[in-house]
Amino acid sequence: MINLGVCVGSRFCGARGALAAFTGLTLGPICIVILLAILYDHFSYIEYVKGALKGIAAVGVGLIASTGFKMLKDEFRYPPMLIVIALTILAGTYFNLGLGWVVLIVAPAALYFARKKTKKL
Amino acid sequence: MTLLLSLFIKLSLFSFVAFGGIIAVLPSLFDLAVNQEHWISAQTFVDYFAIAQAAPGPNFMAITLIGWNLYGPLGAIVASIAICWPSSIMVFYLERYITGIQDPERKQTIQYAAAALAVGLVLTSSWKLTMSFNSHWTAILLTIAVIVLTQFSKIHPLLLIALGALIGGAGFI
Repeated sequence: MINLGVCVGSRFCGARGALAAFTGLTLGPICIVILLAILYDHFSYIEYVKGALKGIAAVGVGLIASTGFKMLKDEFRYPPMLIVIALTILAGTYFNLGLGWVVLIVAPAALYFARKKTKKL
Repeated sequence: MTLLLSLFIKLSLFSFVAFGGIIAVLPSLFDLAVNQEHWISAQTFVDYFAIAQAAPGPNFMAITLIGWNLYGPLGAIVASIAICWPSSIMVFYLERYITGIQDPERKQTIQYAAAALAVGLVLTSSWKLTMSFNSHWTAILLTIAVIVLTQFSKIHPLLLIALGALIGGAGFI
């Protein structure tokens, strides 16, 4: 979303527009999140707060994975693409490669299958 | 001052490889902040992640909080800028490049390829986060429940976060 803001901002006013978009989009949320962190510093000793944060973290990971699974549904329109996704996950988790390497290694396969998908659909 | 500089440089480098957004680099950032630099403890990272998820706003705010922890308000601002500027610039040029492609077939190909990569990276990231958060099995169960629920209903994320706070606060995790 920030990236989108920067794109729009720079279309209108160049670098200054990009900077303005960035500041406008982030300043409010940053203030709120820091306020929460100050509260956290004062109250994180309470067992209830500790537990609640663990619960929120678990839900947070679930929400992230959820967007991944929702996007995955679209890939079933052309099942061979699932090979690319499996390859990405394998490279990232089992072989524990850095993000840059994963992208470099998987990108050729992704482009190959994407070309076929475009031709077919 | 050296700490601030090191924070800026390291986060900027991570932003350069942040294909698929900040979510994709979160596990590596956990490794950087907790295991390599010892900026914060693993528990604090998990808590900052939780706070950033619960608060409104962009995804990178866990990083803002790491900066705030290290160097106060200035740290928060430096960390936020560092994690954004390289990826923003790259997205800007990428967007220009893609809208500039005349051949619709080529455009579609690139979009399909990027989408597949993004799916893989997001799923990888969720898996790695679960592993590095070293969660109790009940937390993993809650994560799975959230994934299943959100696939089949349009339940609001904030409601799920509140539910997570309740379940965790009651001591189930």
